[in-house]
Amino acid sequence: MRQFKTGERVRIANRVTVGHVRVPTYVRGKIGIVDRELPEFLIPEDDAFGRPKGRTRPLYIVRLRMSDLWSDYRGSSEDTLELEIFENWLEKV
Amino acid sequence: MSDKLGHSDAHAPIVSKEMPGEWEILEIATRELAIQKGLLTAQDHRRWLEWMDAATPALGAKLVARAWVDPEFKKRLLADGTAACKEMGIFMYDGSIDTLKLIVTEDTPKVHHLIVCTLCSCYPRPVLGLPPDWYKSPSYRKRAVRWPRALLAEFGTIIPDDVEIQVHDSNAAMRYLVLPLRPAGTEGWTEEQLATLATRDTMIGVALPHTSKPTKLVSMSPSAPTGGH
Amino acid sequence: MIEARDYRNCIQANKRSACQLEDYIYLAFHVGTFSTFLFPHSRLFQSTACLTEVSVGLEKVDEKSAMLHRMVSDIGGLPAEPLNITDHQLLPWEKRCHALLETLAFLGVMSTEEKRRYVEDMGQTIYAALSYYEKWIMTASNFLVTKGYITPDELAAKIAEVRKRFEAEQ
Repeated sequence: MRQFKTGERVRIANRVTVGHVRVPTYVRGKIGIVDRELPEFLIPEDDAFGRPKGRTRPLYIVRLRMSDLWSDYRGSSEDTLELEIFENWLEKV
Repeated sequence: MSDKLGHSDAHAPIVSKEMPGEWEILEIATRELAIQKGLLTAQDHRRWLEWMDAATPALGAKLVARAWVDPEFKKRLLADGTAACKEMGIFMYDGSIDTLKLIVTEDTPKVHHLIVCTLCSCYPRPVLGLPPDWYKSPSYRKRAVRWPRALLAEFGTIIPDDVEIQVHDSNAAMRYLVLPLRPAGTEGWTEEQLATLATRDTMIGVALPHTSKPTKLVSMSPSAPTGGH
Repeated sequence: MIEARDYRNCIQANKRSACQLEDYIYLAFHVGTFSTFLFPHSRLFQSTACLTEVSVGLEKVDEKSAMLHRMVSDIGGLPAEPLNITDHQLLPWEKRCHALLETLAFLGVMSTEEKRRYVEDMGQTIYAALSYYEKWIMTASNFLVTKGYITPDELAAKIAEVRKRFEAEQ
């Protein structure tokens, strides 16, 4: 059962990690909105370590405000950024 | 080959006998060993080269032009880019024929899209070919997600303040293509004519399509870039 | 419509943002790291005495901790060098290299994600010094050896054989 729905507010987890993950540090701990629900895929934490039969999780496109990402953002206050986050990196708000 | 008087043979074939560098030697050695060990065949490898050659921005432009003239196609394109490619006979050689992988984002008068991969160089290669060096450069990857307007200005693209910029960081399974705004003054154009306006840079989002002649050319060097990117 | 002076200001603002103190230190640290690699006995670039804070996600950590927390490829939003809008025609070996890795990924031998990890594991110095395809081919050979498809001596022998092949043609 997918934990998150389109339009839902979510927080991208802020975790200390060692090794290969695909959550850039600039979005960790930030709050955004689920823009789109994507299919399930093998998570990079398993894929990158030669575990093709590893864990799959639902993937989501999360939209964030640039002004939330950067305290000194110089563009429009409406500017946004979207990226894909796996369910295991999202938290309820 | 020269004769006794030191004159060279004008009919000798001109063949480049340059010694390959370290990295090319490594490439040849690795590939031959991989084939020797049965990990792939020479035919597999050659077929991939052919697929790479066949994938150019003209394919992405076909999608854009069709979407510009056919609103129902546009809906399908925006819902599932991979399925739309299948419909148009565009071969997703990366194996994503039946899985959603291509997401097409639509520019509107209110929103302009920009594509980047901060973590590496993810790019919709089956519809755009290989990415340019600047797309893969640390500078682009660092700046696109934090200073998009200044970055676009360096491409000569000015996005007004009242237009939202939405940057897409391709960090996971999807690949992105921008569906640019159809330029004014193209009423009645055929799909083929429209496709010429959808250049690679407009489908990445660093340029806007226009009907006037280009004033800048990207400099192309025949040799590899120096160290770093 | 943004006027000319406004986007010039944007470019200036970009450069100003890139020149905050912590960013200078980030740049100096990495120059220092590279110099330490070249000149290991140079005391000029030993930086452990005065580590400065940099941002990683929501945290402010010292530069050494940042090396732990942030992958070398995780560079979104970092202070940037000027953009060089150029491209180059792929050399034949680069094209063959691209096809090799993609074919191996397609056939399930080495996933693309694994390739990315191998590239990151090379570390900052090599990541910055090698070109895009130099990193890829190093990954491919490294991967084949690590997974046991080939041994280091097999690779060395093959490299020598290939070199000999071309030397014979000179």
